[in-house]
Amino acid sequence: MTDHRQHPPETDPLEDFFGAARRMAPEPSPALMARVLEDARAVQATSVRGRVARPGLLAQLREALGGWPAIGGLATAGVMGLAIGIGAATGLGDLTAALLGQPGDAYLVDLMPELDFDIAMDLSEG
Amino acid sequence: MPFDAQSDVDDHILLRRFAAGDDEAARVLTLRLTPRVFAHAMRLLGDRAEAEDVAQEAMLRLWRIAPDWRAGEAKVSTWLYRVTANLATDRLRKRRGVALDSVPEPEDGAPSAAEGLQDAARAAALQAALAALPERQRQAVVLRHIEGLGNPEIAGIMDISAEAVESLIARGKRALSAALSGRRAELGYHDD
Repeated sequence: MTDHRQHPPETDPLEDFFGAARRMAPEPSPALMARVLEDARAVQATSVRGRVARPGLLAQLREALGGWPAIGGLATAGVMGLAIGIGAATGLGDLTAALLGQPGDAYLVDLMPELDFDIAMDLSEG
Repeated sequence: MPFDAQSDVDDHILLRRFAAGDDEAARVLTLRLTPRVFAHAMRLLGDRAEAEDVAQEAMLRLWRIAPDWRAGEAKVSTWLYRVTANLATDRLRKRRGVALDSVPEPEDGAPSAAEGLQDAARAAALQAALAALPERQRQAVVLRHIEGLGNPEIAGIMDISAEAVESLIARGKRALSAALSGRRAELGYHDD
């Protein structure tokens, strides 16, 4: 921080004064040193306590949702949803078979039953 | 951890350790930086009580900024000189018009040896002459010739160009030479 080599004493008529000022550097009192260190420790304590007290993002999310019990409920609901989703696919297959019969059965479906009447009338009228 | 273990560590590394809660870093930084900050404040203000207040406030600002300190942007010492000078300038503006005679003499280091007494007398005379300079000239001269900084660093501290620093120093030294030339005999100079 200090470099006194830039201005050799012989080239600067004021150097005697500057040199004297450097040699007679005012010293801080022990009381000032103690106050500065006390400030340092107070700021340090506040800063470290602040870091401990400030919850992280996950902790803030957990608290927003209602804490661990709510997280447990959400997890249970998620697992149940998954189980229902997987179980429902199998159940739907069984239900389809019960209602529609086994694959390979043939069914006759009359999509336009009123047409039978029109055809019968045409035939009877010749 | 003994004091020596961190005494060679750079300021910005100590500051990072301080921010992480390292008590030893707090102690080393206090011992290393407070004397410089106080001495600089004392040279700018010429008053011990005010210089102590300024030094404490400058160091407090350093402690507070420590968690956000970004290494490489500025030297800790440069930042401290700038804060100290700004705080001192605020004080000086509040007490405009102070007479040169009212500037307190330096109290420190009352030596018993004649050489020490001469040093004390010269330092006191310089302090009085510095007090009569405009603030910016005083700051530039002190940073260059007593703190020993180079022009680029002084320019950074004072937020001006290196050329402006040179100009302030030149004008300041002319005024100091004029003020001190009349006191050479009483300060131990014997013109042959």
